Amino acid sequence: MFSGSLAGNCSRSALGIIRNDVSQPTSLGFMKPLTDEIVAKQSETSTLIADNLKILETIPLPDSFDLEEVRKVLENKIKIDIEKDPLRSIASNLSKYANNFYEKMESYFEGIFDFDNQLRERKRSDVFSVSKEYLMSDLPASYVEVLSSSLLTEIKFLDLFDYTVRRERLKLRVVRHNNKKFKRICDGHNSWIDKLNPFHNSMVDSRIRLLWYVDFHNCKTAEEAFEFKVLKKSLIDKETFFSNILELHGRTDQFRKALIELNKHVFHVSSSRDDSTVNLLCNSVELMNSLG
Amino acid sequence: MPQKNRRFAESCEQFLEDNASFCLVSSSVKKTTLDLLSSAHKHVSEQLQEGLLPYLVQKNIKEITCRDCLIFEDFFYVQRKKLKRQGKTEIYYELIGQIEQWVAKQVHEIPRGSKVKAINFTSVILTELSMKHDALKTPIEIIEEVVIPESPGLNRLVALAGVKKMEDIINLSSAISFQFENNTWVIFVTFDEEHVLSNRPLLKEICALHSSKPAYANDYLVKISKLSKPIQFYRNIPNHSVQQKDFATEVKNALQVNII
Repeated sequence: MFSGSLAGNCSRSALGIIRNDVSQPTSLGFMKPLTDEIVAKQSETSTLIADNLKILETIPLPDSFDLEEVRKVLENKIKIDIEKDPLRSIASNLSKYANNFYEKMESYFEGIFDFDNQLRERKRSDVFSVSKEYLMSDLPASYVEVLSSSLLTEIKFLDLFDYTVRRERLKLRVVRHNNKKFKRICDGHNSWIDKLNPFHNSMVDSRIRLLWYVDFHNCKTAEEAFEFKVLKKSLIDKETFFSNILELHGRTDQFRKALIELNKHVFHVSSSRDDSTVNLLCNSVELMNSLG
Repeated sequence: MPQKNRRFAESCEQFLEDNASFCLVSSSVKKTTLDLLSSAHKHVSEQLQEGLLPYLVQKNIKEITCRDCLIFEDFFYVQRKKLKRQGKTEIYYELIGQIEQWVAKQVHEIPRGSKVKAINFTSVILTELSMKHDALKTPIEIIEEVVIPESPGLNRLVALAGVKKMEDIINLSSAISFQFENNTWVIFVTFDEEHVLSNRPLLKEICALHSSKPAYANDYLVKISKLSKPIQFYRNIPNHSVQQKDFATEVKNALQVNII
């Protein structure tokens, strides 16, 4: 249980300071001309900034905040995050390979599974951060429940992604020298990824909206935002908070349903009764059921 | 529904792993189960947030080792005293006892020689709780959900078949509605010996509903797949009894389906 990364100090930094689209699934481009690396990086950064600013605009900020100032702080944070986050540069390389998949298939497969493992670790670490934040706050338990559930759903998505991509890899290797069939498999991959993407994106957007809403209303200046702090429910508007909770709950549910539709066997995880936490939950469910 | 009994739980898990794609769950059962799981998660989370962590802070306990279990014994003793003052029922004592047992196990699992910050310890166990909560949700989530409106007439007949608990009456009545509305056989899978399985003969005779433990469900499936469809089967019963005629009338009223 006490693996090093969890037991150590976990700062807020791992947790969705910005829209975390390193986890966004990539479509496979069959044969796309390679774009200039600097141009590609610039466009990646500007898309990321634009996406985050879009979310920012939907959040009611405290009156004392100047939107322009918050924008600047956010842009700055994103730029630093892009520079510092090791997963971001791996993600950027992987999407480069995915864009020219016919040529770079092996490089893509060499990196993708390890990358997904690191991403899983990050999501678990994010659940830890959310738990810590909740425990130190006086926020209701639904806060930690919906945030954890949305993060854990992303882990389920990664499991499903890896399972499916491993099967696709096998097929792609068999038809490596048949352009037509190779392209067909890439198209098949893109088709299921494109179906999932809107659900995934809207869930992540809702999560960021909830986190930012609570965060902004618990600090005095834009500079204080995105840093770890003790959160207080008295500083937030109950109605907005719970509507954000409900929205995230609904979107997580929709994403889970989309994943189940794709493959219910991979989605289903058996829980061992040797596990004391599983026992605790099952016993509590029965007791609560008898409470009526 | 997550089961307390270990044997039942394992049998359920196995059954769902093999048969999830043939199963249906009524929306009300699904909702009740997910709500109960959520309540269990919330209850434990709140105990950690409002009880355990402030207690550790108050006692100035910053780090925890595997030998610090008695600190927690003291905490749970105080909690029980609080429950007594509040006049809470036995179930609340049971609930707190469950959490106590779990926390003690987690403390003992801290590797020897390691010290964990109190806030990190509570955060790790809450993380673990959320992960297991998520895993326990999945078996019920993957089952196809059907919305079946309640029929008081059918409820009455299920009650006449000997079922006493309202919750079971509604669930059985939903299964019967689905069976005759879709003219497809349904097997009601349950462990509930006391309220459902003990009434199996009458449920079968009057309502043509098969109920079974998970272990026999596949055998029933083979058996009923050889029978004609439910409506035809019911029509072909020779000399319908008064109760069967009564049942057919209720099915006609509730579902507009003629089964005699």
